[in-house]
Amino acid sequence: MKTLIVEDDFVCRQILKDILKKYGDCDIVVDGEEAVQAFRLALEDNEPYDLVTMDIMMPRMDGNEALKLIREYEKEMNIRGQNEVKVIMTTALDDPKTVVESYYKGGATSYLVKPLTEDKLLAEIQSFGLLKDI
Amino acid sequence: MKSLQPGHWKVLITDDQEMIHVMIKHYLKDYQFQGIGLQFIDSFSCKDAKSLLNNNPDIAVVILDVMLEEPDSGFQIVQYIRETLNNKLLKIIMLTGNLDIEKAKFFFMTYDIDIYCPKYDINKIYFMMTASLRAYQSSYSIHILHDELKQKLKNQESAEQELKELNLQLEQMIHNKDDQLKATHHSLKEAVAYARKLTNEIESSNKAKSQFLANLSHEIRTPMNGIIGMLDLALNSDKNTKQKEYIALAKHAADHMHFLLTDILDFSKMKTSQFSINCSTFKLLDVIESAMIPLQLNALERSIQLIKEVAPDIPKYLYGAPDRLLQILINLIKNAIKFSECCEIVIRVKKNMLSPMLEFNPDTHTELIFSVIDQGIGIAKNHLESIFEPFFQSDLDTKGGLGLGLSICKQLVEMMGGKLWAESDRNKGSTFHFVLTFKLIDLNENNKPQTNNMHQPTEIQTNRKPKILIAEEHFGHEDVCVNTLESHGFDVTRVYDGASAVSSFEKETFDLILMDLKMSDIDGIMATRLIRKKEDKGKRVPIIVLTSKVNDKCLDACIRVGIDGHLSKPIKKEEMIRKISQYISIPSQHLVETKKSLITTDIKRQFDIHIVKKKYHDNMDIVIEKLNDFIDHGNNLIEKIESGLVRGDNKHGVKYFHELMILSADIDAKKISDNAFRCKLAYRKEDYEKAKRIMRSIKEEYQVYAKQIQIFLNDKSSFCQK
Repeated sequence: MKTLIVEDDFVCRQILKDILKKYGDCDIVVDGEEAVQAFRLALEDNEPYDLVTMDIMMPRMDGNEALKLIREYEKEMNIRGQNEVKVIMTTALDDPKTVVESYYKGGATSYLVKPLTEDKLLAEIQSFGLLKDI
Repeated sequence: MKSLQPGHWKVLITDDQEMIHVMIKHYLKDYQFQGIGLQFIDSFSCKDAKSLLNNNPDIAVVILDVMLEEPDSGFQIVQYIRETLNNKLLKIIMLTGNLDIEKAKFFFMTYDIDIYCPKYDINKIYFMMTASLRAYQSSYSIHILHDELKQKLKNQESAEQELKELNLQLEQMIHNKDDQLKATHHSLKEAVAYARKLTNEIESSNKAKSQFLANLSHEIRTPMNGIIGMLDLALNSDKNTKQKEYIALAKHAADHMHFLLTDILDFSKMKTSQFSINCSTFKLLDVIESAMIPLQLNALERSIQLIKEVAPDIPKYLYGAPDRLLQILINLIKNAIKFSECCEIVIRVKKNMLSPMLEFNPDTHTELIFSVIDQGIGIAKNHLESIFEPFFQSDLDTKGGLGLGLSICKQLVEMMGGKLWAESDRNKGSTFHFVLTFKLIDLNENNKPQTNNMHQPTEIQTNRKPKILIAEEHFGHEDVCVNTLESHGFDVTRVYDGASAVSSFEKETFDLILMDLKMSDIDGIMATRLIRKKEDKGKRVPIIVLTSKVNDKCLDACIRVGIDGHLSKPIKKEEMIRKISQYISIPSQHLVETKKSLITTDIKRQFDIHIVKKKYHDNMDIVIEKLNDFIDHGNNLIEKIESGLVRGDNKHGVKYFHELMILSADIDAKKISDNAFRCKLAYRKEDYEKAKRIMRSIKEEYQVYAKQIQIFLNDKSSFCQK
């Protein structure tokens, strides 16, 4: 399972990386722009991500915007349905509106409320069918 | 008038001759005046007379001999009566023996004597007595009257006096009161001014405080999330029992703190003015699900099952505030989870048909009753009200939190015009109900609203320009709209009234319609209604109205006839394009160009001066500066990175790659910037082997570019020299 971790907070990144690196390659980016770029390059290199964990509140480009561009790019590349990358929005539940927005409009697969713990994260990933045995 | 009614008329006879006494009594033997007889008092000397007079103030008539012990004793007695006793009432009949008429005249005139009677005329005493008594009686009456009048006058005077005093007191009081009032008024004024000042200060400081709290709790929560996550990782790694125990305790404390922060953040947000209730069309089930999703894991941890029960007769789509509804549900479910274990929590929604609490028309509105039912520890009866007060903590509440969640819910529900209350049985569980009213949306297939949440822009066939119909009466808006749309690659048809809009729609197929809401023939709402009627099944053209003012009522009508969105006048270009992009894709994406560049696949290997020149609007100074930067710093950076890789010192690698990325992006060397980014990612996960591989291709590319740029720069300088 190849994962892209999108998170501006250093510690949070570290946590996600420590949890997820056990299950495969993890790339780390720090804002929405980097996320979109990394996503595109991975597709170009023919090593697409299976999972993206996306923070919502980030500098430069926030998670919702990045998610929208990622979905647009997938559409352009004719990647649809099951082949679309699974995106978990990670949020501090600051503002329900942003949650609603990303969940419906942005096409997020799911969202998790911080603080993230191993159990929470793995249970969610398992529900996508990405990890068979934990 | 008070009349005099004595038992007898008292008559004092003063004469030293016994004979006179006998004679008078004889003549007046059976005498009666007004039916009342006489009582005689006899005296024979001046001294006797005085003492008798003194003891009998009610004597009516005195028969007085002038000459007693002394020749003028009679006059002494008269003086005594009139002056000493001050008795002006009783009548005096003066007797004289020897007739000295001149002397009698003198006395009669000088002293206050009523009748003169020579002793030889004593037989006429009958008439004299009658005259005297009559005079006495009338004098007495007058005296009484006088007394009464005097008394009355006195009373009146004293009343007047009292009145005066009262007046004075009143005046004094009024004066005092006036002073007091003035003072009070003054201090009131001061108090009001002070209060106003304080209020202002408090308001602004409160606002600042709430803002500060909101910022602070967010800032604190980020590292808090880190701490909790790290502790969680530590807990799951191999540690001895003691360490695990310590870490578990630390995580418990951190969880608790996180809870507090969430409450504070919510509460402070409610206090700041940024807190608003935004209405839109939404799907009820989606909101309920998104309230449950983030809490599902918390529930699982406590072996709780979250169950939703939504009555089938509730419309799918409603108009209201979905984000606030979500917030209320999240808070209530969170609260239910907090106080339950190993049970079910039911989230139930049904129509509140039987006893509507809020007054709305059932044709346009629906009243829903939401219930969050748990089987937890319950709430004591006497706490059912107070649990909604901010900072309330039940005595059994050892679960942490500030006790703000429920207070926030109640405030939210009330702000939305609803009601929230709790029912509970101790140890059996609690139920939180709230009632809210939502507007109904007219929902036949054709009129299904494009909700904000559900919409995906329609793809347009690429072989033709997307067509937009614009119906707008006023010429002022024309240029802005038409020019902007055309410059974005739309095919624009322009009409000037509602009827033409409808007939154009019949003739041609449009991808989107922009329509003025207020047109003189048929307005935007009517035109939309007609268009929706004529529309083929399965096809639905997005209609956006242009309005200067939008209120709820108007918006309601718009949604009902199937208008999809609105744009406020005066129309801003960017806003219009953004709005349109929600419904159909924009052929020429001026606005999202920079963002699009992130996902563009078109990569040239060649250095292209035209693109660079275009990027800097043909400003050659900047272009040359950027090219030089690429050559000078680029080489430098690559050397630094390579030597780092050789030495195994890659501390600054990510920074160098970032700089290289920017340098190459500046001159549109996309391949290099992409590879630099790839290296950055590789460095972040310490995959230096991969980085080394990519570095080789970066170096290759760089040399190609540098060569081409050098050639261009040389040409340029030689061109300049020429």
